[in-house]
Amino acid sequence: MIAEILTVSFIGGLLSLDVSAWGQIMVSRPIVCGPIIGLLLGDLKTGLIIGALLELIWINVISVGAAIPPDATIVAVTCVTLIMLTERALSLGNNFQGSYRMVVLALTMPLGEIFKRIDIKQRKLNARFVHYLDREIIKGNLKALEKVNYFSLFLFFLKGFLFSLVAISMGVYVLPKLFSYLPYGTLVGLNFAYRLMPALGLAIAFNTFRGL
Amino acid sequence: MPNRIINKIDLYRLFWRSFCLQAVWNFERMQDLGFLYILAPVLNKLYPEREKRIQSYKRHLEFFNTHPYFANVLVGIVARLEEEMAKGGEVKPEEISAVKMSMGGAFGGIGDSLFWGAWRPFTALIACVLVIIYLRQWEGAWLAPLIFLFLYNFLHFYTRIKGMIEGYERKTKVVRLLKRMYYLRAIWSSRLISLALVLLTLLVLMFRDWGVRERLYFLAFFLSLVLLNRWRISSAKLLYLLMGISCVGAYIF
Repeated sequence: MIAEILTVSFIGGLLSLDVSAWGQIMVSRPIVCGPIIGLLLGDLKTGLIIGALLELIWINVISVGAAIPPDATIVAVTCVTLIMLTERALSLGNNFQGSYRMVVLALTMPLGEIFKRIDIKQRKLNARFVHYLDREIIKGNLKALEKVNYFSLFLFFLKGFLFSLVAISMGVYVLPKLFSYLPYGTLVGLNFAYRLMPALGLAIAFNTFRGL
Repeated sequence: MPNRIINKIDLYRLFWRSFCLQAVWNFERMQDLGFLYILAPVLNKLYPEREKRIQSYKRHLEFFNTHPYFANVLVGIVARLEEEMAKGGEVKPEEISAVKMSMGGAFGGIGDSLFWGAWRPFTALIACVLVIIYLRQWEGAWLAPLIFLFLYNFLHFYTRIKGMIEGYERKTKVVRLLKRMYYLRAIWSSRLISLALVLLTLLVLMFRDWGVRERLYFLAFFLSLVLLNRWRISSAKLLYLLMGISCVGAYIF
């Protein structure tokens, strides 16, 4: 389990680089990183379906100019990982698999907002790197440019890695216990909500393409 | 081309570095450091003298922000202008700054509406629809993310590569080329196709997964979620609302 958590967090850190720091070839979208994590943990199908549902929810999230949206990547990575790591041990019947997934989804959703706050802090810190580089260039130390660039990239990776490591290892212990407290009626309702998830995704997609 | 200092290999190096544009994105000057990082090999080649090189580095550490893919057009233009200046042409440093500022803003707008606003949602929707409809019957549903990556990155890499080459060759005249590409029409037509796709998926799900009476619930939820989303209620809140309503409903029925 620990090896799996570490691997997934490492991949999660790399994927979160793609959000803005390096490349933006869109491997960071939930529809791609869901299946990647699924493949890693040996259940591609779950990764695909959760990834697609999350992608539809965040299909209209765009970063224009200086605005930073909630982070979809970290939610997709933690959500898919937690579902796969804890679902095995719970041995849920077909009836309550959906309700458990809804619980995981509901609890990982705020992580995107928290991650965004950390991201904003880091981007404020980056301004200091630029001032440092200003001084170094006046001194004539041009090599500092490359160093600052790679160090900042590394910090972006470290942020994603540590955040998903903490979130996943906490979730692995908290989620199954929390789930066992839920009463029967709630489970039935949550299962129904899971079946309705495509309606939510399609509604958001519909609004996005109608031009809001 | 006669007496150019920058050759093709230099442009390739700029292209590979261009992925790092936002590595030190900050609220103060946004992509300033990234732009300088991309351009550094060219500046090093153009200004062998130490003093001039330091000056050129300082000049490019100014506010800069644009769409990350279209930044390559500006990298191409600025590389050419710097080259002309280094050879003793009439280009002035203020001119380069002005080009970066004005064209950066324009390309930022085009890029945001084309890539973030139209092309990525469109390609992502195709992949999502493939997964949601076909996951149960079709073994090859794992192809959907690959289709998304391939479709999306086709236009993405085309913009990066072509933008850099055209920017370098044509300088600021590259804007005229953009007009010919009918970007707005592409955005509009993909919007219509996407709307049709969404509605089609809705119908398929409704008649395949749900019983006769449940179809009405499904449709009612879809319509009310569309309305709520129009009133700027965020998707996370809608998710919690959906869970709440179905839990309460489970107790009542």
